[in-house]
Amino acid sequence: MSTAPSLPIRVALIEDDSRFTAAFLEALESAPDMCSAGTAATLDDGLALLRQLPAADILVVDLGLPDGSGIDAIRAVRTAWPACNVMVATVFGDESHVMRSIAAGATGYLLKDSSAAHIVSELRSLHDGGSPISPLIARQVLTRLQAPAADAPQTPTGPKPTELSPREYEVLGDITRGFSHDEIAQRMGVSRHTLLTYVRRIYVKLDVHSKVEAINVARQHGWLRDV
Amino acid sequence: MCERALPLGWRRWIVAMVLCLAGLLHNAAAESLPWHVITGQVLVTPDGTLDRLSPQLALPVVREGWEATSLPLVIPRHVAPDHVSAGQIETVWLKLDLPAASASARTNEPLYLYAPRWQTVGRLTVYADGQQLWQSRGGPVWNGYNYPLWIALGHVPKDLVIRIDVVGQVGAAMSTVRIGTRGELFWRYAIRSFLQTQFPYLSSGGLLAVGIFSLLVWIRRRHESRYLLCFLAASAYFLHTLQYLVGQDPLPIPEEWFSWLAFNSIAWLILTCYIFIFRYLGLRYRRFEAVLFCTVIFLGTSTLPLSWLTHLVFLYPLSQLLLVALNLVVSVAALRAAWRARSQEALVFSIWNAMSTPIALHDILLQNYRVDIESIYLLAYLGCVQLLLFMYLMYRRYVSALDEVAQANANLSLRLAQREAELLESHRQLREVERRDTLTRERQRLLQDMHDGLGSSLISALRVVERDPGGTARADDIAQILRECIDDLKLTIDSLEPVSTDLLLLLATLRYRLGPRLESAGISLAWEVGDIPALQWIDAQSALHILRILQEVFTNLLKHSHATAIRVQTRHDAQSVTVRVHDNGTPFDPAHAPAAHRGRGLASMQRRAQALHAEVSWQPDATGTWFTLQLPLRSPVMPPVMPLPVLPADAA
Repeated sequence: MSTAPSLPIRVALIEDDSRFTAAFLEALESAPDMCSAGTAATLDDGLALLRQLPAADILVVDLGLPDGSGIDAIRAVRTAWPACNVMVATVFGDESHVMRSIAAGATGYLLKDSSAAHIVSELRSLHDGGSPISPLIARQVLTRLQAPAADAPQTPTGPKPTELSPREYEVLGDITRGFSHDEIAQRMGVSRHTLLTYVRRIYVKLDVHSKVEAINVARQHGWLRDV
Repeated sequence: MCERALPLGWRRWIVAMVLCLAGLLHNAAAESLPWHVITGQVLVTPDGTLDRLSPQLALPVVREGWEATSLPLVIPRHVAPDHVSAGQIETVWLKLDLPAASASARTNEPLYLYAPRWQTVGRLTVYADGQQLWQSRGGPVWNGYNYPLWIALGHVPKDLVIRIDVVGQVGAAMSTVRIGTRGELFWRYAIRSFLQTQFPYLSSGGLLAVGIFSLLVWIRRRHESRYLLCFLAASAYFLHTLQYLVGQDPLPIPEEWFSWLAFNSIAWLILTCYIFIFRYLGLRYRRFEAVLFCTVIFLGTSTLPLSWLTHLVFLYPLSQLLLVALNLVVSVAALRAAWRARSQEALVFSIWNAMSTPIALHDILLQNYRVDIESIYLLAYLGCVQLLLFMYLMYRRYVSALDEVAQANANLSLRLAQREAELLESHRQLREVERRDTLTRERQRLLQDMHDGLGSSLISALRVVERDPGGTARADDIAQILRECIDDLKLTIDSLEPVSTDLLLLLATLRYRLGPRLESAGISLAWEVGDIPALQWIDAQSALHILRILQEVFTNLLKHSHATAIRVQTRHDAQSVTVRVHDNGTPFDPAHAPAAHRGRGLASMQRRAQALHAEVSWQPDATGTWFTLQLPLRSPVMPPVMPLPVLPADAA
């Protein structure tokens, strides 16, 4: 999977559970193409970590930090390390945590009970442009983003930034029906990796959508002037 | 001090009186304009005529018989004439004593003759220097007697003669006469004219308009008779007032009929006013009102100009006296009623009504030349004020009715607001009950789930550790149990996600959660699901039941079946949706399931299936076992979504 073995993937972690941190670092060490870019146990330390250079390739954040929400770290990393991919460490991968993180700019999530091998493969997948998705989150995305226009699938201007492409729509539908990534990729005639990049694109649209929604809300409340 | 206390107005009056007296004394002498003529010579001759007269004055040839008279001149009426034979006309000749024209009286300005009033049944002709200047038009009765005279004389006349042709023996009257320029006299004429004719004309017209408005209201609101009474009163007043206005030109109807109308309209006005005041006070004097009606009808019929009785028996003055007597009685009754009712406005109205008796007497006396002919007929004024009071009372009632309506509306909106608040409160209570109910159900659900799943799994893990306190031989077992705990928790949390009626989504979630375990156990999974209809009855509770049943199936397969391949299928028909799971492991028959743990899991599945009105079954086949979960398409018993709203007991 990795295309540049000479440069290891630098992974930073902000997590207050020392056992998970230890297991995580162990998993990194077991992978020859990865190395740690530092860890922090609080939000303050995490924000300090973000000021260091060179930037990490992936940041893994726990949302429930003792001195604040990991969401703040997700927002901060987008300006501090713009090229960095963000992943949320979560126990359950439940919809409310994950959707909030994606809206803040994360593009993946990591279940904390994952095995070391699974952690490494998830990190690699994310680094390669793929994102994980669960059926319940797929259903949430389907209800939030616009379905592709059936009558005009190819408009000259392209689809709207918050509108799903027909392929993306198809992927989400299959995920809510319980098909695995491999099964879907096979059915669509693409690689598993390509399929996971579709999910990444969907998350970006969701991020844009949440910003558009915020602007709309602000307009409705008169916080922004119509230009 | 006393002299100073005398008001300025009085002093002016005294001065004016003195000047007036001086004027009288020097009347015969040369006098400057304007002249006030208060004496003359009068002669009454028979054989008058209402025919066309010659423009030249033809004084009777007799020299004697002229009598000096003061003005106003009155030839009295015979109340009971010896013979009423029609057609006898006498002529009253009146030569005015004009002062000798002084030098100062010779003016280039044209002169005018002004007389406030004359009155007779017949015709009046005015001659100046032998030439006819003016003649009354109209008929003999309605001849314009109420209009003051305003005649252009031109130069200063040497002599002025007034000829009055009188029909029957009804008498005649002529007021004093003034001669002067327009600037000197016109204001007198204008004021007179306004008081005698223009005011009654304007007021009766205006009040009639209000009366017509009332009539229109009454047409829509027949039960409110006071609107009709208002119209009748205004009409009667209008008809009554006409008599002060006609006579400039011949009448469109016969004079007898007009006289009948003019006389009876005042009776009608009296009648409507009293009926109104009694109704206003909420009173109904049946006998008294019957007498009132009868009298008015008697007056109306007995004065009809059709009957031979009219000329023989009936005389207007006597009828007038009857009317005055009637009015007196009724006004006393109205005053008494208003006093008893303690109604201030009704009392004012009744007092004004009672005033009508002296005023009517005044007018009758004026009509019969018993008071100064230069007086004004006052009944028009009385009627006008009476009608205004009438309308004021109507207005009071109208406004109070409007106030009542506004009050009623305010009460209504107040009650509406109260009811609204009650309804909101009862809704709030319902919501509160519902919320508590939901919370309780959710708590029970989670408690039950913790008890059956997570709780018992953790106890199992504890037992394993306790049985082998020192060793680590069972570490795999403990890890296995803890993984199951985590899976349990994940599925519990998934069941808390926004409710979905999509069974496939539940299956997908299950696969998402349990798939890694199957994969790590080396079991292949064939996902052979197809689209199935939405199950509308699925809520958080039933979603968790479905998840737990299937979780139990997969866990059992992992633990006991030694299967290497699992297939998951969905089917549906008109009544139900079926989830089938096939494994290629050891065939399973629940009837021969000895293990206690497995038995508990099965019991739990059966209980959950029962709660869903679903069925679970196992069927061995050549390659393994088919597990079937059959779910109803529609729930046979839908739980009530919300209890019916209970209205407050007194809402009706």
